[in-house]
Amino acid sequence: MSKMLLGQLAKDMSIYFFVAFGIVLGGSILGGIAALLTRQPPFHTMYELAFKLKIWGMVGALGGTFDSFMQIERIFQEGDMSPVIKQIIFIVSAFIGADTGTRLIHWLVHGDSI
Amino acid sequence: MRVPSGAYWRRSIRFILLYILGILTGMSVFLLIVGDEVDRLHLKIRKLEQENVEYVQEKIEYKKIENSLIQKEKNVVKEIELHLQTKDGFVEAELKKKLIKDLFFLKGKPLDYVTGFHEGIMMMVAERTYTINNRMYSLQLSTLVISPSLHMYIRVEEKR
Repeated sequence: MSKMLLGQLAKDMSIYFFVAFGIVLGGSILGGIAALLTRQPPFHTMYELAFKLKIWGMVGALGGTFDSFMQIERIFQEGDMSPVIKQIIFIVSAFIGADTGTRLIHWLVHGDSI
Repeated sequence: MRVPSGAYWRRSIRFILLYILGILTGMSVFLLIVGDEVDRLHLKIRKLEQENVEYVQEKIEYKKIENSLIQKEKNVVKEIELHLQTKDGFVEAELKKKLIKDLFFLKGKPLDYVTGFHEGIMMMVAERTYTINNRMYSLQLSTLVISPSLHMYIRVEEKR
């Protein structure tokens, strides 16, 4: 049973990770294309967008603005701690995804800071 | 006119989206290839714009300095014009050469200084004798016009 739960957790974690990663990566690359079309420095724009989208990648992956945090608050009030830990794991997973995306863009743009 | 049915578009929408995805992929690849160069060129444009602003400012400053220098230069002797009253052109040319050398110190001097020194100039010209082709010539300053172009009217007399 716990193996199944762990498997489900891993699946959810990977989804949160890749959604956050995709938001940062896709947003930055498409922003770069837009910058290229509007005669702005594309790599510089991508670099800045990667920073700005980091937090939004995380929030987007968690499904809304503050839903997860509201849920944590509700669970705290009910006294059951295991969903709180689950939510924290998802938040950390989304953060790692967003951070990886940001670092990847920085590496792509400047070839360093990874 | 035959209007295509909606089902046809629904069937082909995935191909259109695939086409759009292909465009986006191609643009992304293109961006990754030329992005660095475009960034470098944008940076160069910014630097050149900045340099241009600096050069324009420098030019304005130089113009101001030039104007002030011109204003200053208006009050100094810029050139010396000698009008020698002699019939012999060769003597005139030789005397001019020697006089210009002797009076060269007046160039660049303020007009006020020359005005105060006019007697000295007259004496200096009168005291000197110049030897040309074994003949001695004495000079007499008849008229002195003090302006940025200093005009000196000099009588030439041969000493016997």
